Amino acid sequence: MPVQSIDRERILVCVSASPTSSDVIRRAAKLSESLGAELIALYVENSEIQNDAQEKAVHEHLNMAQRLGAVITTIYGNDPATAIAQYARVSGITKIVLGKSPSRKHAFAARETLMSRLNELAPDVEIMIVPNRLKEDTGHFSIKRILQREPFTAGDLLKTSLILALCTGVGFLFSVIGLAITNVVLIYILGVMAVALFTAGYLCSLLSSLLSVLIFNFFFTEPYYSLQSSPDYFATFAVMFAVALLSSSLTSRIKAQSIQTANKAYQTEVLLSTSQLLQKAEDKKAILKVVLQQLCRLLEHSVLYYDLEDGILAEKPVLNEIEGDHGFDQIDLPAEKAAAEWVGRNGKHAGHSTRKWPQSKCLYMAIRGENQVWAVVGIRADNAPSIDEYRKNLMISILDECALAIEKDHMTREKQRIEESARQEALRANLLRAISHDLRTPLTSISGNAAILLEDHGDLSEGRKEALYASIYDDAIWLNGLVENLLTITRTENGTIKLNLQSEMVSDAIEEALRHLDRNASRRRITSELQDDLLMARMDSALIVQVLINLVNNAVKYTPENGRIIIGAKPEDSMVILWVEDDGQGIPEGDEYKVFEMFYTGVKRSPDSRRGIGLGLALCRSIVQAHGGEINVKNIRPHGARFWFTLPIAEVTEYEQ
Amino acid sequence: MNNKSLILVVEDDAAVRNLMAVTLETRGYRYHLAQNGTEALIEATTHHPDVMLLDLGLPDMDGVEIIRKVRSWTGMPIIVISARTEDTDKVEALDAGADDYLTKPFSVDEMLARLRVALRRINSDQQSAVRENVVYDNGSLHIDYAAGCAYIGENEIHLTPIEYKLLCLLAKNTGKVLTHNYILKEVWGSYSASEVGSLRVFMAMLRKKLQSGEGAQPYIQTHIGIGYRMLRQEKSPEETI
Repeated sequence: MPVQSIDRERILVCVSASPTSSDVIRRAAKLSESLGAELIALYVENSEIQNDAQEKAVHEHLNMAQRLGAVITTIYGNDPATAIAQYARVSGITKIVLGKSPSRKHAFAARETLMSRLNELAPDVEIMIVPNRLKEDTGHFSIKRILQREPFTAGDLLKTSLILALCTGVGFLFSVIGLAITNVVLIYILGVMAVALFTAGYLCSLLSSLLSVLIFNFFFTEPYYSLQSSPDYFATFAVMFAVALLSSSLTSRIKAQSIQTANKAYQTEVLLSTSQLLQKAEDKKAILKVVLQQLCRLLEHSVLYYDLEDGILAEKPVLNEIEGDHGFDQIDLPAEKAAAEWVGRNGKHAGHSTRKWPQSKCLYMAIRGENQVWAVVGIRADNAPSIDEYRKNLMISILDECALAIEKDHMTREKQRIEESARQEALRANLLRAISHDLRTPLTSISGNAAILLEDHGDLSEGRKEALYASIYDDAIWLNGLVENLLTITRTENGTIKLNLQSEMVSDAIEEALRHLDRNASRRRITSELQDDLLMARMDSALIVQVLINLVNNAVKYTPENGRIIIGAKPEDSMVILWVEDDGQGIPEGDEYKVFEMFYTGVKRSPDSRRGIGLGLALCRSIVQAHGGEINVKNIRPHGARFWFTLPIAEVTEYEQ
Repeated sequence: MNNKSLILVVEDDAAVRNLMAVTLETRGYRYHLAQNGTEALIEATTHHPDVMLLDLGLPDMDGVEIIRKVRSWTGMPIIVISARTEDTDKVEALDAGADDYLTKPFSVDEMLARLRVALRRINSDQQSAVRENVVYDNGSLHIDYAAGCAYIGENEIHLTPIEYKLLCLLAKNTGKVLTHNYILKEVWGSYSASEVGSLRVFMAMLRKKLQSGEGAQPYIQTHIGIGYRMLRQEKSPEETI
């Protein structure tokens, strides 16, 4: 249920089958309108058996409440007072509107009890009583009414007579043996309890209580075989009747409670398994799939859902059908889509058994979050078994839970997206700052050196000029390397690199990389150690060449002049391992993992030494990982570092014509 | 080397055009400049240059289109220049008929080297026309087409049928970069991605065999991600034509 703002009043109106209920609902609606309050129509269903007329009346009242703008809620509880009070507390109800005479009155619960108990259980809530204008016929206890209310079947009557006959038989047996007459009384009480246990409703219990007293009187008290008896027995009869009646009603109640407990357990089980499954569901689609499965299990009807994106209903529904006649085969779903669309727009129920599109074969319900409808669920409702209020209530709970799950999922995703974009933003800002610094330095040097050369009127020595030219050249080459890396970064969208994978000769890639090294590299001794000339790996050659260039240039950067750099490759299981080894200072202890992070630039030698912005190795890692390989570095003895990475090996079946 | 060769430079960027012009002038080449595709086609038809240096990113026309048009009447070497390191552009240009490519930024030395390769191809084409494709000579590599044999110096190299076919294809296009696609179509008659791997292996084997002989000149150049090229080696001293 959506969380409401506290300032707004919330009025609860209790709906019943009583004819006065409609009047109560109307008045409650008027009240809520004048107060600008939200109206909730609550129906408490319990184990008391209802006849069709009552069920219909309740349905009509609920429909009316919905028309008057009320939110319909059905809860389940045998004790209306507790159920109403509990609901009121949980959903922040400020006022409860009751009819003066709640019709669905329990034999032992007077209306004052409901009111006073509500007062007791929910003391903060204002309770308003609507005076009863209709003549109430429900208050009178009549056989007709009992007959109307109680299902009275021949089977139950048969059971009653059988049990009583058995009791009488046992009674005769007892009297033949010569056991005391009191034992027979107990046998009858046992019989009455058995009747209460095995038959539905109060009628049979009542009847058996009465009959047992009469039969006892007839067969076992003097004078035998007559209903006359000595006044001594009147007390016995009275007590026997009372005990029989009480125990039968207790038994009935225990039975009703056990049914209720079972129902409650089932409800808890369904809701629990739903919430467990919902927790495991990864996205909206999975959540809706879980809900379809649970609803199908619960209702034993085919169900479907229409996804709703930005207020637009999906083209086709997702179905979860029950085999056979209960499927959607014979139903013209496209024709019913208007109902689903209406539900999507308004977030209310429509379709079968409602006022909107009643001719539909499906009942459409919204999965409604705080301020939007996430999806529309359809249930094929035109066939048996019909959906009772209890199941409907459970269904609404499941849909509410589903809405919560979708909302949570949505929020998590939104949060992730925002975090991701914030991270990207931070990265971009860092990158820009680093680039603008790193671009400016060589550009300053290039333009400065060029300016000196332009303004030279023969004052500069040849050697001096040579140095300036070389500096301009070096800076330009360095800039090109940076631009090359930046261009590759632009190829990596959302962290994924689009690869053009080919089986390439590792030796070709190494050769190509060695052709594109910094000028400084010529002052190092670079050798390649390739054990197998025909070693091939799956790679995007341009990117892997760039990885090798970056690694070798990195090695050049951190080795003294005349340092030794070895570049090599060998197969290892299903991978090719490539490495670049230098004999420089190595990686500072503990920094092995950090070197592949963006903007890591190693030990700063002097404040303004230009050593790159630490893009190269981070890029190497992205590229190698995109190839499904790994990259790492370790220090080697006596000194130096070995960067290595792996690529999937390429097996080529050589063939001749 | 005939340094009086006429070079057509097609480049829209003034600074790069100027750089190329200065370089060509200092090395004694004659040159014409064109700023866009239309000018390039006019220059090419009116002056019949020996080599064309073509920038692929022209404002008015797609570079590949220019190559196709030029190829419709002349086989003059075309060296394309592309700014981006996208291999696909180059492969497309090479498949359309370009001979070689340069990637910006390129060094002046690199450009001159490519130019020399292209000019040498014209020369050898003119020479080999006389010998009617009976034999092929490149440095110490000698192919006898009639006998179907290849030699490095005096030693015959033992080649499998596919290797021999590859060698002949490269030899006939000496100086030209052949794309993987082209080679597969010519030698295998079909193109499928799975065969690219085999091509790499055959090429590697072939290169090894060619380089095992004495002298060890690199004949076949690998252009990773693009293709292969047979390089024209300096002639052995005993060969004189």
